[in-house]
Amino acid sequence: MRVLVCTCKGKIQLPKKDLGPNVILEQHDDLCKKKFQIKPDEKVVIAGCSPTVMEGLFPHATAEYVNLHEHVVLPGHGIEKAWDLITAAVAKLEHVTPVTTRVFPIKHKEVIVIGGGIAGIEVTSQLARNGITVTMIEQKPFLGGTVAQLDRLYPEGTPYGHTLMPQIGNMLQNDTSRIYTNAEVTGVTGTVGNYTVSLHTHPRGVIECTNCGKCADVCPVEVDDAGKMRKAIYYEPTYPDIYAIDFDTCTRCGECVKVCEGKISLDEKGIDKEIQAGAIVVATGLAWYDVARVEEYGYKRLDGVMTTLEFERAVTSGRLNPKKIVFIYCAGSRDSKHLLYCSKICCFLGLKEAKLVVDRFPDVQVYIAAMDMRSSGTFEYLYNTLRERGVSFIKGKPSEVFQRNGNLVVRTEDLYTNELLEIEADTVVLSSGFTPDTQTFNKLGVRLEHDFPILFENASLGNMELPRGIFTAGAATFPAGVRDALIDARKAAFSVVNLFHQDKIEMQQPNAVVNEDLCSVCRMCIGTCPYGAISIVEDKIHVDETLCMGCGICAITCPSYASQLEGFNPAALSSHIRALVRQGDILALLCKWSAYNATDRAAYDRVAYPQNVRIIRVPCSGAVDISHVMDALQNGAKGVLIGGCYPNACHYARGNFRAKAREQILRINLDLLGFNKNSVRLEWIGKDEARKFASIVKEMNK
Amino acid sequence: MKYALFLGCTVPVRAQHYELSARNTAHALGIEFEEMSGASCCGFPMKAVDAETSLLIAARNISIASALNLNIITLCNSCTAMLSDAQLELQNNSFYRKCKELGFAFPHDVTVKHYVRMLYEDIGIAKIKAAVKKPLSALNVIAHYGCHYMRPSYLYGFDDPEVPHTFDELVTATGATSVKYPDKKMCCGGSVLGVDEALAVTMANHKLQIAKTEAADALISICPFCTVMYEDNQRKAEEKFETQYNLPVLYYPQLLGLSFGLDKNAVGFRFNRVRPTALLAKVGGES
Amino acid sequence: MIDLKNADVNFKWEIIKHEGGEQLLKCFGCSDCAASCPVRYFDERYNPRKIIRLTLLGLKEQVLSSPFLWFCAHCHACTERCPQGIPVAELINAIKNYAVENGFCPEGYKVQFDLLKKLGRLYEVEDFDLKKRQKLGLPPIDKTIPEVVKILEYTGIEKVVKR
Repeated sequence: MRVLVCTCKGKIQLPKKDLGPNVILEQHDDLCKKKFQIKPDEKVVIAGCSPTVMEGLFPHATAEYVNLHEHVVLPGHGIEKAWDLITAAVAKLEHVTPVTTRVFPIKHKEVIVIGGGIAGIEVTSQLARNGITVTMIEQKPFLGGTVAQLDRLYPEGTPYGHTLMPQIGNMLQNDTSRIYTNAEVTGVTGTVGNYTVSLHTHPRGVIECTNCGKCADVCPVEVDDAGKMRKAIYYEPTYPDIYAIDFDTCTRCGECVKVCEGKISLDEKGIDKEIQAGAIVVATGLAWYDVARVEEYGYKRLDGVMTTLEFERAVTSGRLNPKKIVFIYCAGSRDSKHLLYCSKICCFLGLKEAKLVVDRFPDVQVYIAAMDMRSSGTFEYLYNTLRERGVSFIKGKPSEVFQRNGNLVVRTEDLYTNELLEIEADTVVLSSGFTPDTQTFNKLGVRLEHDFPILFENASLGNMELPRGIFTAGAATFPAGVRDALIDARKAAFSVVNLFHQDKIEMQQPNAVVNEDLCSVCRMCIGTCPYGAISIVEDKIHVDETLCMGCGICAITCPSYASQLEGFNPAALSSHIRALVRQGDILALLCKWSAYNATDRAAYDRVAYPQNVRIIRVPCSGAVDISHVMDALQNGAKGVLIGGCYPNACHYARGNFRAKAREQILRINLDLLGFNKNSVRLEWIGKDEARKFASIVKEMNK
Repeated sequence: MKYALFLGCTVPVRAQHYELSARNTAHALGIEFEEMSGASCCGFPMKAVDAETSLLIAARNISIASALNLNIITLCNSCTAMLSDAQLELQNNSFYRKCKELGFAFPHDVTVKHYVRMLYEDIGIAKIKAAVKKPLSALNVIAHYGCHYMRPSYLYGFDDPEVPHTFDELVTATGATSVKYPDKKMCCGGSVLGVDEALAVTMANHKLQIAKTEAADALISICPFCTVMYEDNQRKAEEKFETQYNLPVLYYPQLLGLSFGLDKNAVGFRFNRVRPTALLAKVGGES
Repeated sequence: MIDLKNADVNFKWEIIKHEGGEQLLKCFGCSDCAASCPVRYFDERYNPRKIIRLTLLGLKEQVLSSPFLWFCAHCHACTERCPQGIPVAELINAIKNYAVENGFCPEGYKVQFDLLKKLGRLYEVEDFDLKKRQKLGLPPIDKTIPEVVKILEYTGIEKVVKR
């Protein structure tokens, strides 16, 4: 083991002392400016500036950082503290499980894009341009997704073709993409760089096609396709340029077969296939919430009640000529019985539909009943335009839609006037929200939180660092308009290109490892992991290396000490504490994402705190065990402070709640063992709250 | 099939025809009732004063049925809600402990159901239809659910709180036509009667007016409170709104008994304040 | 004008401690409850949204002394529709309970309390009623149920009602 100590511009001069066998102490000026050769499996103590700085310069996994600059030099604490800190770090490293380097070869530099909507098309286009082979899997017979169903795009009513057709053209100009329509993913195995995706292609019915359209002429089945009428055999002008049979409505009467100039087969079989890829992009887009579940609004029960999509398609195809319309916003959104979240784009969509209808029918009366109008950004202009065009806005959530004298009646309270209103109308449009594609996410093992991919939630963490080959793009990540979906798609393409620039990924991030000899498969770790990285594989606990973020919560939860976080195992923390804490000390176990940084801030801002406060940096406040508190108290500590992020702001999603949950049990146990149960404090300390930190430790030191 | 019959306050004293017809139609369907000796008020009247007191009174009533090991059948919508609420609350440990402190025991798990729900779920439309001897096809009636028959849905999980249909189906099973009408879920106003009589009467009048517009032969009720509003206060509504309704208000078991061909005394038509003479003449009966 | 100087910031925290009032703070004021309310449909003096908003603002006196608080018919139409999953009728009931604790018990409830204490039921069962029941072939019922008194004593509600 090597101990690299910075002299801190001459302020740290350590006496020659023996740190034990096989421990070499080296003192350097300007440690941070030097390059050191450190072997991958070597344990090393780096004593210099704050680990927040040094970690970036010495990204060596099995290192323990000693903060000489911010914890000794700047606060003006004595040199003996520096020595104590170094000795304790050595004691810790002796017991640490080294961090192993994991290598993931990028075997297949090919990508699978699931979903052929605007986002999927953009990803494919961008990747193909970079010479990457892409396989696109689209569920429907034609590409285009939701955008292809719309007449116009908001905010200004651009025809969808202005956006979608050039996109498809761009994509097709590169011959590195293969497109499967009518296809679905049936299974996925493997890991980054080496995935195997099995897919099933459903029969299209039309095998050769001249696009003459005679089949649709003779087809007797009329289908209402979200507000627009079509036949059971039909064509969408996107891609491919071939008719398709909708076998859900087809009666197999055979009329089309008789007139076909090409080849139609009603008994075509589906095809199963396996494709290998190094990365997968999920671009499955939007699914509309089934607004019939919002029963009080009478969708599917009352004639004239429709969804925004149906309304748009019915009006633009000339099927509907409304005189008086009520739009009901948030139908099934921000609702505990339906979708708890705001889908973000439905307010805009409703405004767009309102404009679409006032443009076509100048005499139409339009009411928009919304509990809140969320017209963020430039959509405020559209909102202004519509008010100027005479659209009436009502604030309040309508209670119900019912029929009276052949008319639809919307009953609502108008919060602006505080009056109960009833509006009679011929058309009621329900602006519903959108649901996530949990099915595909589940197949791919993407962890969801609030129904949407957690990668999205934690985007600020930089998920590109994860050695994970699954990316999301467009509205699959969260409901989004075309502009945002395209931006997101380019981001996903960029991530894939970045990934494929390497032949292998080397990961040195600390991971949880399970000692099978000790593990009783009690499954406590499974529930405690914030990332769903732990599962049972063949009756054994399995940690998914690509999902583990190294918080250490499982290691602390494990009752048999079988789960260990590399670089931070409970035994190592124990020896660290025992070596550091003396009679009358205060031990501060501080989360490295917030509370620990407050101590650095204390140094810069000259906020004083007593020298007997012994600070240990832990990955998470949730990664502290009762036994560690006991270690400190047995060594004679006056108190133990556990510092973490504020509620709902934990770097590891839920770690601080784990700490909070453990606090009470901790106190009970301390009481039973004869310690003062109030000698422990759990506090939320933000990264700049130096004064809060100082006042807490001063109080504890009294 | 055997149940514990919970009568509550109003039914055994003020609506004996409901009790009588309910017992006799049930008997015709092979249902037996055990009396809940010692049962008190359900507790609902104390809810606005102190929810816990009302729940404890309800829990005591449940414990009586629990000792009998029989599921509870209620005749009043409010009793159903109150007892169901206590049933749910009993899963709360601190409430359960309070019940224990008061000496209530719950040796058996029992359920609470309204009489009409029991007919729908436990007997079934088919069996009821089979028992109809005199289909009442000449009648157009208004089915009034009352609030606490299916609401709050978190207590019941039964029928559809927005578009209820079970009671309509039961009414239709007698051969009568259950008229489709607006504001079906409208409250009778009963709970407001003690606070503001004029308002309560206005609320009741809403549905009486609808019944008149729809030319209904009767309003069918399943709750003594609702009947108080629609029948006992009908005259007040007529006076206040200067109109004539003369609308018979029958309890559902009365209608059902009629279709079963039960004796007129067995369903107690003579206790109905608004005499259903015309209605009975229509179906070839007599009052 | 509402003067928030007179607001009691603890009022909302008191209500959420009461049975049925736990979810008060979820309200985002969409007014679906008021639009669903049959009482409000006929009489605009009663408005559940307004009661909830005043409660959230801490206007204790105004809420508790209002005679319209007692207009809630407890029909649960609001409960079914509240997008935030608040059992609104139960919430209004919690506010009623709190009003009673603070000495705002309407006379009608005092009468009902006395009846329950005396009889264990809301109506006096006279011999005439029992005879009538007998004639109809209906089983006899208890004239009084004294066990109810035990419950009333246990919760100590009499002191509160008679404040």
